[in-house]
Amino acid sequence: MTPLDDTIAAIATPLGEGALAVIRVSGPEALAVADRCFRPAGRHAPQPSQAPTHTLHYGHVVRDGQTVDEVLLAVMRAPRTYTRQDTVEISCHGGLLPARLVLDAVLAAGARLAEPGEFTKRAFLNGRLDLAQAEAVADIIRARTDRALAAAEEQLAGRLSQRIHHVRDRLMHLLAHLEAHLDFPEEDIAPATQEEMLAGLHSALAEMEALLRTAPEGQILRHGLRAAIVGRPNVGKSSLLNQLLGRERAIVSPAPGTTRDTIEETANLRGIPVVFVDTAGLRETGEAVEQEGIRRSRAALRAAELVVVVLDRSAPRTPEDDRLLAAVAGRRHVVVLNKSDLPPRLEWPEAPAGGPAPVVEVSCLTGAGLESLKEAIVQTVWSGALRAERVEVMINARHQDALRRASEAAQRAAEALAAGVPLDLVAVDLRQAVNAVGEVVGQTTVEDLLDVVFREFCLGK
Amino acid sequence: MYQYPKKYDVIVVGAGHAGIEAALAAARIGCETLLLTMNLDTIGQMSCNPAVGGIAKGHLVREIDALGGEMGKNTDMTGIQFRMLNIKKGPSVWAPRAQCDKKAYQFRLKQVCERQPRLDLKQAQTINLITDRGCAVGVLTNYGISFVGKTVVLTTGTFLHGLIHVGINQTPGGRSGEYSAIGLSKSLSEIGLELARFKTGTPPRILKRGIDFYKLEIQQGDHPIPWFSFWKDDLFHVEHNSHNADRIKKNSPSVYPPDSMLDRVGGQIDCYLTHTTERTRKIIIENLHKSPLYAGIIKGTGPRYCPSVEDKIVRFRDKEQHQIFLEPEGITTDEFYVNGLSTSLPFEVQVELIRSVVGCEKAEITRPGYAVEYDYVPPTQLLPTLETKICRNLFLAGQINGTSGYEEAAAQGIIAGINAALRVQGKPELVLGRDQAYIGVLIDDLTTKGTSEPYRVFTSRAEYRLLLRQDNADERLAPIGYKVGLLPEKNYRKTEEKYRQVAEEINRLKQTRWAGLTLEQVLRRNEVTYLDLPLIEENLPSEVIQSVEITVKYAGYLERQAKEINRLRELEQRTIPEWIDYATIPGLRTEAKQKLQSLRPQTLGQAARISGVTPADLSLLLIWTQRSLTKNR
Repeated sequence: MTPLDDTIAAIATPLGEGALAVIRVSGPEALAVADRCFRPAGRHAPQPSQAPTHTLHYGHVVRDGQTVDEVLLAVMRAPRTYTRQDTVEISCHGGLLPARLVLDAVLAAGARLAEPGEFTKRAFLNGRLDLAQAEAVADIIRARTDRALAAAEEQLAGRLSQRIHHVRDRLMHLLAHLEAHLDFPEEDIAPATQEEMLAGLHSALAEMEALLRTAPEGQILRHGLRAAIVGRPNVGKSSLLNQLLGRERAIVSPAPGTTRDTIEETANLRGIPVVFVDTAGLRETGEAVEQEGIRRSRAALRAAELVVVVLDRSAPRTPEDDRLLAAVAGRRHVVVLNKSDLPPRLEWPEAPAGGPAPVVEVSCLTGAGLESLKEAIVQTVWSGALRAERVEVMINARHQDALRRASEAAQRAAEALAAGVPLDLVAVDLRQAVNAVGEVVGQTTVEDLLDVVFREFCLGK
Repeated sequence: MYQYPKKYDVIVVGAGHAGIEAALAAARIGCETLLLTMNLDTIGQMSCNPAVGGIAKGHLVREIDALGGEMGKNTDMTGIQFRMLNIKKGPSVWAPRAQCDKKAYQFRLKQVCERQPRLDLKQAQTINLITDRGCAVGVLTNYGISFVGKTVVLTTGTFLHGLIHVGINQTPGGRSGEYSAIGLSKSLSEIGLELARFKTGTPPRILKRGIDFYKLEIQQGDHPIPWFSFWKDDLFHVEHNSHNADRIKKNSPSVYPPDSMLDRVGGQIDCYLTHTTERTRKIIIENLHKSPLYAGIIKGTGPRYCPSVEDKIVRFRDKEQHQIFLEPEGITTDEFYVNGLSTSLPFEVQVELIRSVVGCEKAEITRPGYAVEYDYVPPTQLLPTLETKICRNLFLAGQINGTSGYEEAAAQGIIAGINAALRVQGKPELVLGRDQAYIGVLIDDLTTKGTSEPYRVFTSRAEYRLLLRQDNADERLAPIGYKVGLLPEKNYRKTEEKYRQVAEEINRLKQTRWAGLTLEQVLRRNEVTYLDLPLIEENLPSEVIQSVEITVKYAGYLERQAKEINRLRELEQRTIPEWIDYATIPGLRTEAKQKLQSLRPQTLGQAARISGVTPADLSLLLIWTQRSLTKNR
């Protein structure tokens, strides 16, 4: 059931493109949600809820005390907004990852992930759109839900469905025990002990956590693996990007420091979409623009799921190379020794510190070694935490949202149970957990619950 | 044919638990009311166990009482043992239950009906519903007498084509020893109502002298007595107690309501607990083929929560023993109700069966257990007012709607009676929400989802269980009962005063500090009760104290549920036009189309509760209804 008066959020710009991404938050709690995840820059800058309507604010999105991204936040109070509800729009850095992280922070601050077309639906229902526009709204919802439905069916056929059903059954079983205990006190049914209930809840919580952990992996298949190309200036990072894309994207010049900002492009490597992020070369520099470029490079490096370290095989190793290699130690990475067409002057040790990362020699000039590099990248992706069988159960953002709510409710139930709170109250949270999981695999009804109660207990006073 | 000259506002057919509440409500609201029954000596009969209340059922009785119904008072006046169940669990599942004197229960109801102004009680079998251009206008009874009424409420219970099974022996009848109603089913089919079959059953009754009480565990009533009725003044004041008021000494200093069964007996009566044995199981397994259920003779669906002992043994083979409660049927009879031994096995097997139960080795059966099959009207054919969608001014209530239980019947009866009366008076209808009452949950479940077995309430059916407590039924419903003209003003004022005191006391607790905390904060602790508090308000009535405790202790949870209700209220308030054609809404999935087309919900809230309707379907429906409203504007 989708009420009209809770607070929803979604990425409002197309995924994976553009210099900026916009996350839109709308609903009565929009400003409160913004307060919870936005730190305005400047000591006297107002919180979003204190800010006048239709104003723009500079600051950071934060989650658990950690800065997620540097953003501009627009405060628009009802009714002069698209949905005629309080609305906040957060402009963050473009590309998929910053937008995802900001959205995650907003959801963690209490918003619910919007359904397809839900902003437009609200706009229409609140009288913001005329009839002709409204005709289009139904089409949008229909088109998106059809697609979502097809995707859902594909997914539910797989192991995800099994595992979510398993979690739901486990929670239902616990709830059925509680409910039987509450509704049939005169029957000689042995109620589950507190230990049994808690053990069951913790197993369910562990299963949900495991599913939630697959979220990033699902993201990779859906939205692409993010690979940062890093290295000293002028080792050929941009040339490598152009080679991987098969076209000229980045400006290449012999002058070090040509790339001042990060560039993102998606290449298809053996079926895996890989978002390559070309970064400004990392070096000490006094120039302000280049410094900012380097700051962003470091940010891209932190956010990447895979790092492609580019070294110049034709030049001796530098302390900057060593620092870079040390920085990626422990991260999933591939080492590229570029300029294999020139005489080698780089001393390369057998096994670099930080583990057995593949090392590939390529020439961006001739294209030699590129296929090996692609193979190495794919191998690294699959052999890491992304083993094939785990990718079968990946969850999308909607599942993630539902599972997160389920997990929080189950956690509350466990705490209440442990604290000796009366069972009818524990049941409130447990039921919420069952319903939230049920949203992923289909509606949970009271009839389903009663079916379990009557199947498991002999009742009949 | 003779047409009775008096024209009624409301005609109620059937004087069981539903019919009586319907008739009393209509008459008390001010309508000229006729109550027809096949047998005046069995009105308000407890056809099954001699008990009222229990989990969720007790909640219903409290709600009926808060609205101004009779069931609570009647139970208090004729109960012989009272208990508050679940008292060790949270307050939302506390529930009163009482054993009643079966005969006293019905005799008191009979007299209440007889003495009710504007209510005529008549014995006649209704064989036909009279309609005119799609409206109910009266009924035809046997002997050719017809009655004219502006509205008709049918509460036929298990009597429509009732068929009683004892072994392979079948007898037409709605209840052991009584007729079955034959003509009425046909009459309902003719106006276009679809009928289906359900089955229910009852255990044998045995005589006291064959019971070895030394082998049984005693179950006693609670002290202080958890009365059902909120209106203690009505119970304890002789002037207000219509029943036998002339016979009672004024101001008798009894702890029990004057002339109540407890007053007459001087205290509560015990019940007993025992269990089946290995032999019980053997007898059933050996004779299973003689059970009409297992031989395939009974086609109707029975309730899972009240299975026959055959079912229990077959489905739970590993369970070594099943509990059996022995409950006295009254103080002027020696018959005992054998709770837990519902069966339709042949009489000779029942004799063996009962004697295999511990303490019943020498028991004599006075009446065998039996199964009864009957026609019911699948309740999705009803509006939430309990009026049929197909025939205006025709209301259905009770077991005819596929429910089971006296309390469920009475709850529907009072709503049908109120709505029939409001129709006559030209006033807006009464529909209780799922967030207002178990009665609302019950009727919404029935009318939007239907039921695949005889329906019984459970607290787990309510989304907002914490708000629908037995202790606050008066707060929730007394204003409504008063507004429709059913609950007397003095009772309504009493409720106002009670909750004014509650609010005042909570306010005081919030403002009074003790050892650095407010008293409210102290009371929130799990182990602290109101009486443990320092600086308590002396002389607060116990109901007020209880309400204060619950409101303070569970504030967090209560607020969350209240918030949830507000969140969903918008959907409940968005109505779907009656003329909607789901087939023409593009994008709705086929399953949703079919379900919506057949159930025809009135609001988006109802649509959302239909299984198979997804959030996306709901969105499309929402857009579509809004669009059609805009177009028509």
